[in-house]
Amino acid sequence: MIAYLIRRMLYAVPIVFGIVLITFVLFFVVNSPADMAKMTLGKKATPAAVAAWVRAHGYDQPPFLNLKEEGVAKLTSTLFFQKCARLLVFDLGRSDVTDRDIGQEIRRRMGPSLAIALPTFLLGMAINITMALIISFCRGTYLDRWGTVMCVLLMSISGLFYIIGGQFLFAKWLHLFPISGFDWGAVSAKFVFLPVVIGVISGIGGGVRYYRTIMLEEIEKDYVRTARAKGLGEGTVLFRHVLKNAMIPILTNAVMAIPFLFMGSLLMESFFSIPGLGSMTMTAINAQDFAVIRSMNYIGAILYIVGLLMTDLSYTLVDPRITLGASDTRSLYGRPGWRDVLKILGGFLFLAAGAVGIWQAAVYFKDQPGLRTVIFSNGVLAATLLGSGAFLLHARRSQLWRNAWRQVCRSRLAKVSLAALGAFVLIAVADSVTWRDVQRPAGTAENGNGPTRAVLAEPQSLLDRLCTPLAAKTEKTYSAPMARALLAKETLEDEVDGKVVRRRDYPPLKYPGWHLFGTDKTGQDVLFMTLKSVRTGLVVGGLTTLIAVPFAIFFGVLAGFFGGWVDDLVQYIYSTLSSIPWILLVVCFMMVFGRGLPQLCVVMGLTGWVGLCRVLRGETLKLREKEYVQAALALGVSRFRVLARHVVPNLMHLVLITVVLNFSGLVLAEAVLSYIGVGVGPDTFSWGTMINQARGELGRDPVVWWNLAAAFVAMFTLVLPANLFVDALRDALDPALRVRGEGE
Amino acid sequence: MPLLEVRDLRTYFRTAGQPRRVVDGISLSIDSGETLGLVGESGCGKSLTALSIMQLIPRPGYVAGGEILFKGRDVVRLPGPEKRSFRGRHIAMIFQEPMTCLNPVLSVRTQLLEAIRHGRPEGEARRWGGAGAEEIEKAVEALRLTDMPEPAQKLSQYPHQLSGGMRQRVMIAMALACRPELLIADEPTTALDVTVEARILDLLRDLQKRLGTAILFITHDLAVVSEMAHRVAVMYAGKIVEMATAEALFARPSHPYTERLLRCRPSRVQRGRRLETIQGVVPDPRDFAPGCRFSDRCPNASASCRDVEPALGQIEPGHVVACHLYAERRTPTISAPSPLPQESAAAPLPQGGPLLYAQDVAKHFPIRRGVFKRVVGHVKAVDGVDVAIPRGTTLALVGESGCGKTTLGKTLIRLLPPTGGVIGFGGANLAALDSRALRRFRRDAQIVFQDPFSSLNPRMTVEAIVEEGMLVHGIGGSRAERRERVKHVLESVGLTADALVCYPHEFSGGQRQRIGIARALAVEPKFLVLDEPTSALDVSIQAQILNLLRRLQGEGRERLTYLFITHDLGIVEYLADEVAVMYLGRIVERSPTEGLFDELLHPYTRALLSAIPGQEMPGRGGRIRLEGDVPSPSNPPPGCHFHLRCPSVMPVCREVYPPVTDLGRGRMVRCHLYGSRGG
Ligand SMILES: Nc1ncnc2c1ncn2[C@@H]1O[C@H](COP(=O)(O)OP(=O)(O)OP(=O)(O)O)[C@@H](O)[C@H]1O
Ligand code: SF4
Ligand code: SF4
Ligand SMILES: [Mg+2]
Repeated sequence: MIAYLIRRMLYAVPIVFGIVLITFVLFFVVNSPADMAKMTLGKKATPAAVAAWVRAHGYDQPPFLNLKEEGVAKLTSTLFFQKCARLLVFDLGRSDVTDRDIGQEIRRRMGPSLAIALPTFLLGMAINITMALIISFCRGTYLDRWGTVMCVLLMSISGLFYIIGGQFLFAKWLHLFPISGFDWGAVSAKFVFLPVVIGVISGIGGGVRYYRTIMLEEIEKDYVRTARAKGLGEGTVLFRHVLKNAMIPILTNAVMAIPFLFMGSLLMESFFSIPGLGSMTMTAINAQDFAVIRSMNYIGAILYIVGLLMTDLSYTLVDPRITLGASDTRSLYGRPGWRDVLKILGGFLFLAAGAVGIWQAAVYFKDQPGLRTVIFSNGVLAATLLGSGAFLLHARRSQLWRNAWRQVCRSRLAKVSLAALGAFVLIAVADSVTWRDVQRPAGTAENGNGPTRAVLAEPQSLLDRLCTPLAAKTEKTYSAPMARALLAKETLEDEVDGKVVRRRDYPPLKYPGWHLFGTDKTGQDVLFMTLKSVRTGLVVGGLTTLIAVPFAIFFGVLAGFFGGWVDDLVQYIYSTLSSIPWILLVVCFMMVFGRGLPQLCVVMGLTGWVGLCRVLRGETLKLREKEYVQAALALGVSRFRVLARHVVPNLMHLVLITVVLNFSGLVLAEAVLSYIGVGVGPDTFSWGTMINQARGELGRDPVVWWNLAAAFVAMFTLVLPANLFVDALRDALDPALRVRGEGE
Repeated sequence: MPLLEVRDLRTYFRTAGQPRRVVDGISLSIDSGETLGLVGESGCGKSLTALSIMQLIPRPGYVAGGEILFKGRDVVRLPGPEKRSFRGRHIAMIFQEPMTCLNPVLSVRTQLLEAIRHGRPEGEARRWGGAGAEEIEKAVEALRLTDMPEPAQKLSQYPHQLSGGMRQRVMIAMALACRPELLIADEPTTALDVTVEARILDLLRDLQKRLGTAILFITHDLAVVSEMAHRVAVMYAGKIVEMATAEALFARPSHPYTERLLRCRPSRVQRGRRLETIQGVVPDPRDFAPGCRFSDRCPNASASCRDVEPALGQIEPGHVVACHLYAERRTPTISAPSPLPQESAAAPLPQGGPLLYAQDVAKHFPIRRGVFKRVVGHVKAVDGVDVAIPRGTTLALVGESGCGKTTLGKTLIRLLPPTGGVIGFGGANLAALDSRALRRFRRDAQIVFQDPFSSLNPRMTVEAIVEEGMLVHGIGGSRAERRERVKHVLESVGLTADALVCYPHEFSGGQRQRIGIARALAVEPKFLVLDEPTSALDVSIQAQILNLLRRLQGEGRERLTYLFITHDLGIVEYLADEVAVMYLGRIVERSPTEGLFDELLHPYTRALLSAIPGQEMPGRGGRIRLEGDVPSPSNPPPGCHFHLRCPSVMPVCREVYPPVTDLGRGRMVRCHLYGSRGG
């Protein structure tokens, strides 16, 4: 036990160091201090001002080695030591913007953060677990079926909707609670209530479903039958036998979350103006305060490591089988030799080259004037479609996939979902097939000054062209759905009896009744914007998955199959990556590389492979013990071929399920990120930007709700079918795998 | 009035179409203090009968008709809460898998107390709270009843800290805690070693004598049932086809199914002959033929069998059979078991050096602990083994579970790198092979695994599975040629070409095992390691596989050489030329099969053989029941590894590991008892 703790601590050291290094590289190597200065001071800052800023914030030292100094100072008065290494001893330094001591600030703001996060967490757990227990108690009944459907519905709703909707309902309409703010003392309850309720509700869908799966799995176990055979009541069986066994996966989730309670919630705190750590981070993001973000990164990572440790310790409390410290690693396949190392490296380089290729293509096309992200997403879409095509070809030949498909087709819900998803894909494809019209053909200029080049119009996609009737019909500003008049009063001039009469009134629209979803502030048709945003959502979901999945398969399978140092290395990489709170990692990345769709996809892909990788590693560990794998080795099949033929195909169902699940998660995440201001830029159509622009307008009277509603409904209609489809898919793929003896 | 009377019980499973009639009109009765054995192949509805009696039918199953009368009260129609209090208190049940049937996170005490409290009068049973001293005393008492060593100490332990036998004892203690009148035991020893099995069976018999409990004993093992049961019911496809006292049934098996089942068992008598088999498989419970359900496998079937379902009829007092042969109470006219042809006497063993030769082979698995995962010890799974298998012969390797049989088998074909020792194959030293020669060796030495379910990749067609080795070794040039060869191999294991495009889940266990064998044969090996290839299968299918293996060894240009890992001595007697008995990583006795059974030398071999149910003890000495469990291979006891359990232990045994004593005629033994005898 003690030895185990020590070992875990020792493992943590390289991880922490890795994090410090990542931060350093991101902030000081990729992004020089001068860049930072320009970011805060603005592009047009004079060199002198930049230099002054750099000096004032202590960024003027050399990175690793200061030759000007003597002795230890050679190492200590450097950027790395001053700005990063000191993090190791929790000397967080001062804010770049406000110059406050960050450590003090964090201590001060921890209280309000916890006041919101802790009740949300505890209440959420209690409610979710109870509901899951009830649902699994009534398994097979209507309550179960409808409960599950409800959960999927709740899950498919964007988190932003819960917040905005909740605030609107409880504070604006019913005036039950203050809309935002925070204060200590007796009144704090009244500020805390709304965020907590909203937090709990938004977590119910996913939580209940997750816990239900865990409990149902336990309920099928043999020992439950034993308990029933003893004559125990259902209550005892459920609470004593099932719940205690289900605690292990539940703890994995819950204990991991505890340390992060200290970090607060970015969204909640900024919406409810809670002076906690979350809003501090938000402010830092907006003010480009690098020092604060660095510190939060570091603290998040430390908390993650603490969380891991706590999870392991809590296992020993609920599961007597787990004794920390003892481990006998069984590796049947020996350590990989140098030739394998070369092969692995080759494979990795290939993957990396692929990723860099996509990235370079993105950058290249991004710099082509007028093309921007358009062609880029064409390429991605083509790749995605090609990939899916190849998979379908493979699946068509496989009995198992064919069976699964037949099973899926049997469910009407699944078919409808698939059709809905297909419609979205069609819209996105239509929006990516782009060409430029020739405005004036090449020819001889009129004044005879030789040949002129053709003049091309702005690129337009198929969707643009199809929607021209909508896109072209812009109004001056807001108008309600199907309205005939504008929402803003204007001075109108009427001619009554030949006299000009002026009055303030809502002017009629240019195209009354045309705008199904109304228009936004600039008079754009909301339906058109919603349709245009489909592509962003799909690209974020699709491209990110495209980046993440190969990495996940590659690393997960290798780690699980070979064990040994390969496993250690892979585990190190993903521990380090996942120990930085992903939202902060995204923030750092976007600060350094700028905002944009490709950047967003890349950074989310970089962090997104971690979860799937972990799952695949665990599954491979199980698969490699299967006798058919050993049989193949006994036949003399090489290990890499065994991987390709026996291991990976047996993981594909997991990959497929994760891909669809990730995809719907990413669509929702994009909105949140764009909303926070680190997603795609404001000039790209996306549901996140739509929400962002529309949120301020909720305060108007009459309320402008339609552009918000359109974005939320669109997200919902994309995510819901995806989630429903996953459910059907999971059911379809499961029985094919589980080979049961006939019901004896 | 019998204690339990089941009348025309029907338990069905709901499906989209026809319900699956898994239990289809079963009637049986059990008196107090009686043991009724229920036997049948897997999938014929034994367990579901038991679960119906317990009213624990898994969804979407339901009782479609019939009555289950316990002391005259119908269990099926009891109201819910009463059903529950009925369980455990009047009827208790123990299950097959002691590993998974105990709750892993609750202590033995908690799980036992639950059962004990349930048995107390209502109201009192509701109390939760801590356990009183009196209750603890009761729990200890319950464990002591099962001969659990150190029962008080075991109470605070968790299931994973107990061995399989001990867990099954805890299950029995829990089941008997409320002194139920009826105990249902569903394959209680199938997952256990023979030695442990023997002790558990003794225990059940003994408890029955003391407590007068009635037992419904479910098993697929005819030998076990012959030892345990007073009366036996034979089930086939959801129906009881024959029921009689144990003596009558084994002396005069009357239903063609029972009779065949008994003749499937391999034994010494059949050595050198083809085993009797039952063709075909148990029909699917969705589409039973209208007539006798056994008709398409029955050698005596006549036209009326296919149309008219035979009813149970008495052929002698207490002996009922459902078969048309007895319809007119004719004397049984089962076609006299035509003696199967004694196949041409086995060709003389080819002479020459052994095909596989191993000296002092060891395989140690490191145990790592501590901060830096230092190696703190080794599991000595195989620890200095000498083997030599002559070409074309079969060496049987027997021993308790965990003694290192599988590890030895895998080490011998280099699936695991040996920790020490020399392995020679066909004259070459395996350790010296370069990667090309190793690949060549892979072609010569193949392995067939125990579990037909996990040994085939579920996502590959049979063709791809069988073809894989051929591709690696470049056997068969073109695609078409390969396909021909695959077809040929499949035919030789008794599968048709239709199987080519199918996936493993479309086959039964026995067919899958054939595919596994076909995969190995496709590369034309010279040597096969067979790791319990039939232990997951029913006797009728086991017979088919054994026939196949015997045939394969007999034919072909070069006779196959087998290393057959098993714990079934019937198979050993039937098939093996030589037997090696393994204990804790070492071979303690080796002998030609004939000699072994004439005179048992090593005390462990004697104990192992006498544990086997239904086996008359040849040679000297009565039954020996081994105490204790196999010690851990990471920390074997000093001296003779067996001395802690050996009935003839001597002082010298505790100190010195016995050397090999060669007794001539190919016999070799490691035991101080024979130290002076040999040379
Ligand atoms: N990869 C491994 N790492 C560590 N210990 C192992 C490994 N494989 C097997 N062992 C241990 O070696 C011992 C012998 O195992 P083995 O599987 O050879 O037994 P067996 O005789 O085949 O048993 P069974 O009859 O149950 O199949 C056991 O104690 C087992 O736990
Ligand atoms: S009824 Fe006919 S088919 Fe059935 S077991 Fe008797 S003889 Fe065979
Ligand atoms: S050496 Fe001694 S302890 Fe070992 S088997 Fe022989 S008599 Fe028993
Ligand atoms: Mg084994």
